[in-house]
Amino acid sequence: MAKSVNVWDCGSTLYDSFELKSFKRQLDSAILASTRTLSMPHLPDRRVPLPPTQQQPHPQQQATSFNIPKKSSKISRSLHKLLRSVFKPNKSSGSFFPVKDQTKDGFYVVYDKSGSVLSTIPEVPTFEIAKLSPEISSSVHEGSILKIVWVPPEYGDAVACICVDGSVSLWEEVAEDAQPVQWKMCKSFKNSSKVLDIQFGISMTRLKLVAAYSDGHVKVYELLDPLELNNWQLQAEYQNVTESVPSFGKALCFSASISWNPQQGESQDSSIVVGFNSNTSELNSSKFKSETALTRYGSLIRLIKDGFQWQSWLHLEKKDDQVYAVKWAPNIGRPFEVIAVATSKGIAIWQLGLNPDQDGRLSAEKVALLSGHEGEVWQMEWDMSGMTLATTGRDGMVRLWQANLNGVWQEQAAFELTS
Amino acid sequence: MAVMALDSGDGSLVPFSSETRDSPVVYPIHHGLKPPVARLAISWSRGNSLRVSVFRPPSGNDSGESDGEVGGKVVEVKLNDGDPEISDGQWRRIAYGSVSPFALLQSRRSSVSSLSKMSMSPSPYDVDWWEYVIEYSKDISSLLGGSNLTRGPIIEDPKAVLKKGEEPTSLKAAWELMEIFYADKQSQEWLPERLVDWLADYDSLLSSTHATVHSKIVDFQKELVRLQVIENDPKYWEVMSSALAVGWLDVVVKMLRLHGSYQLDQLSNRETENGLVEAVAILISKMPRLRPELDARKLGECFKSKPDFVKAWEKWRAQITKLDCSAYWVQCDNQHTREGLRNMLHIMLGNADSLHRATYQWIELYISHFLYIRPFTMGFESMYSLAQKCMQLKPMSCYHRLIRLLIGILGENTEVVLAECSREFGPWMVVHAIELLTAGSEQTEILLHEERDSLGGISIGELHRLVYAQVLSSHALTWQIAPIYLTSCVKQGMSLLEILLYSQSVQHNQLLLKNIEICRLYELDHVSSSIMKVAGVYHWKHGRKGSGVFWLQQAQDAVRLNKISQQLFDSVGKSISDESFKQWEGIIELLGSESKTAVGLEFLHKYRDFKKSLQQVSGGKTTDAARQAAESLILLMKNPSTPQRFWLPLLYDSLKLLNWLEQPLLNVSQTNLLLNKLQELSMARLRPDFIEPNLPTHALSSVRIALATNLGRAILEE
Repeated sequence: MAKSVNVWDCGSTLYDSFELKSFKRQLDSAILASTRTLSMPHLPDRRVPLPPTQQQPHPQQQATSFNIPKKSSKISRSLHKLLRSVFKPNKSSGSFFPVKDQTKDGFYVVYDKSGSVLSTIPEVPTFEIAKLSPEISSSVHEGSILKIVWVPPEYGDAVACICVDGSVSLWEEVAEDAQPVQWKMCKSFKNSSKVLDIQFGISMTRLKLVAAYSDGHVKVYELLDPLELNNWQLQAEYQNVTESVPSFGKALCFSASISWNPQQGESQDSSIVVGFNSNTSELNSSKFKSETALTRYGSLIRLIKDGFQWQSWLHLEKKDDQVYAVKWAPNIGRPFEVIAVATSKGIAIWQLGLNPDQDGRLSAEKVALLSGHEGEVWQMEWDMSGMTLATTGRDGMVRLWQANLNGVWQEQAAFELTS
Repeated sequence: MAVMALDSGDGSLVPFSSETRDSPVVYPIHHGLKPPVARLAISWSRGNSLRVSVFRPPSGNDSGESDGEVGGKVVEVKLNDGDPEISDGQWRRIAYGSVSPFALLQSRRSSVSSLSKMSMSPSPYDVDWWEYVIEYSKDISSLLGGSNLTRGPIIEDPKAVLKKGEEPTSLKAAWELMEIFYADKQSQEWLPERLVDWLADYDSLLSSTHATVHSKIVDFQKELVRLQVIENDPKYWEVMSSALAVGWLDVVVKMLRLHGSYQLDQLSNRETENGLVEAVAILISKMPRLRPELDARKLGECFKSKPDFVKAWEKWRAQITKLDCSAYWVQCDNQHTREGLRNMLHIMLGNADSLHRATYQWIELYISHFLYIRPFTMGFESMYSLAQKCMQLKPMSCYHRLIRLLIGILGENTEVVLAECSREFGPWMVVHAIELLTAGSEQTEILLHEERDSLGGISIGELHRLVYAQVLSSHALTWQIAPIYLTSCVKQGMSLLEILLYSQSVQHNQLLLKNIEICRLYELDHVSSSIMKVAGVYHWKHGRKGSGVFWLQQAQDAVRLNKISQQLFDSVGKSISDESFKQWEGIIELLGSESKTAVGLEFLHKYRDFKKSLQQVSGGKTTDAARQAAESLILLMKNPSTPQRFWLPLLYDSLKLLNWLEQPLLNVSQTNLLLNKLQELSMARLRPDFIEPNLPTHALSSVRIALATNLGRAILEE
């Protein structure tokens, strides 16, 4: 340990020059061997100057503004339809995707590719918006974007875009031989019932896509070719996710939330947790309370375990709670898993035993019910260690939750917007 | 748990208290957008910084057209530590500097524990271990500020020059406090004297909340220039007795020498007065101290052993008493001098009232008690009860964070000490101070290293390291030292390290290489292979196919490489023109021969070799080259891995060889083989799934004729 000390100095000679040089040589020789061909450009010299060791003034606040082009367009109907932007998890390079509603029926992509070097998010170059909008707006039709979900980076820089009308399209950043980088639509899913949420996960070395539909179904697709995002195969369909479909009328869910167990090795089993919400005032009003068929349909959350032998659905919440969002926490070594479930009653923290009992059932325990947000919870995000949960919702607050040294969950801080 | 402060939009640092309370602190996020705000979204950025995106409702309606507002904003909220006294750059310097002492101590710990093997942790009574800890502590301490902190008020020459030393920081003060009480066992004998020194160095910090001896001296120093007759100013005496009470002997003696009676023109009239002043000054500078040594600047006589000290102390006290009772006081005309000097004598004699009057904060009173009332105190005995007594005597509404830390230490309450460290000085302090704390007692060791279910199976010590590592990973310049701390966490460190490494950007080669190097250092092969996979796909998708293949190879990603070879293979099969050959030749080269994984790769390699020799043939006319080309043709055609759809293109390409003028290049059996293949091909054409190669229609017949001719010639030859 002591010996390696110098390695860690930012400007250290060993790390940043010696090691690097040897690597570069190796790389160059490999690339040089193939320079004769046209399609094989050199590695781009995008290396950035080494960050100065210290003392460099860094802006403490990093803020970026997105200039939405001032174009005449239709009125946005409602605010809450507006946009839900979901940030790419796990990538500290911090690419993020604001989603724009209505103006041009498109979205635009903002990168923080500076990742390694800087702490500032560069201003969004306007050309990027101008360039992207036409391509995408032509295909993303009527209605705004509900949600954006990143594809795991092993499969390229790509997002899935869920529209309010329930269609899903997959967009990928590619650069053909000499052409500039562009976003290309590689797949569009259409279905009779609306897609409410999708999430990607890797299981058994394959990329899977889990989609939750408004009729309460959950479908699993698998990517056939790891280099092409256009070829998906339906692998499984679960119609009984919402059991006891009401005897009359068509079942309708209004929002759904899926979360994969973040600890997904390519060769391991994976699990997901799914929550549905059919939140309408009629359904939940006392008047209809007795109508079990309807109220039971309200929402439920289940757990799928063991790869795609989807076993043992496990109810985490009562069926008549409205589940707004679910999020599985990263586990860096706890003997149990932690899942956050936001319902109309608050944010529940569930602890899940890792080993099923004799009947193959998992044990789950609700260790906390946190109240704080008024109204719907929009989004929950765990930090990289799974120790802090950040949430935001309709009340316009951002809240941070942590367990204290005694394992008691509590709100640690809240942020309020001020202009 | 983690105690945080945050830096919200306006850049102000707000301490974040972790005390239990009903409602959490609400911080504002300044986004600078015009209301209304339509939507919020959150995401974790690197480490523990949180990005909050704020969206306005889309403009475009009646009013929105002209407001010219931006559509949204992203604000990054840092949930870090943050000591307002220390700048970001300075923090990073400390973070980098403390890595090496920390790592050294960890490696020593592991070697000591592997030697003893009796217990997981080194015994706290191991003499060597003390030396390691104190060495570590000194290293860290020197990072936190200059080793030679000079006390603020040094009155250099009669006209008062305030020599400013390096600004002391609370962080260093806190560290030294921890060192005094937990690490430095050698100086436990003269603990009170160490506290005297500590207060001398850091009293100025305490002035931020209440008046201190230091602040009084500073104030007086400003006035000093204006004073004509210094000894007539009551403040002169006040300040001197205060300084004496807290043991700043050099300051007192220096100030005494400013006394008017020293001036040459007055020396004769004020002989007695001057004699008294000088006598007091000498007594002060002869004060016995129970400590091994003193700074050159400081006054007093050191005694290492207690018996010697007791003897000297009694002698000194007797001298003071003698002076106090002497008849010379009557002869002293100046009332101020007389009273001032006698008050100083009373302080030295340990008069509780005088001490109380001369000091301002309880800690000063506490120190003065050690100096003059309980000079024989050794070690930790009854220190806490004395502190409580002093706090009662000098009650204060609020305490400085250093004082709160000191109270925790004196109360021997590890939890309080940790909480204060964490709340006031941040995760860096906790992580590094734990090493000192655990050196203190076995009990603390157990408290901090015991695995707890409530924390998910980790100890408090590990939890703090994880939190600190997360803070380090929130900054682009410090994430690379987080692995040092993570690998010292036995239970959960490696998983977090994997997440950290995996989430680094792959777009910059330099960062990528560094990332891979870190993986190699910690033997995280699966992580580095994922990283290289991500890099490979990134480059492949961004038109840099060569780099893409290179990284995928490094990752040994057979699945994707197979797909790539398949793609190549397919595209080669479709058209076999010379231009396209150039296109894929390089990639074949790069895909390498050693990767046996790809199905068609072996063929592609042979095919490339064949194409090359064919090109040489078309260039020159040498029969040798042509013969070689013919041999590779036969090899290709014989090989079962050569797909059928290539047969005709191959043969058509080698028409020239078949019709070689000088001599037939193929013998009878070879020609027969080719003819058989051709026959097979004609049969295959009848099948519906046959794909017609992109060749002239007469290709088959011209090959057939050439082969027939060749057969004839070969038979003749033989």
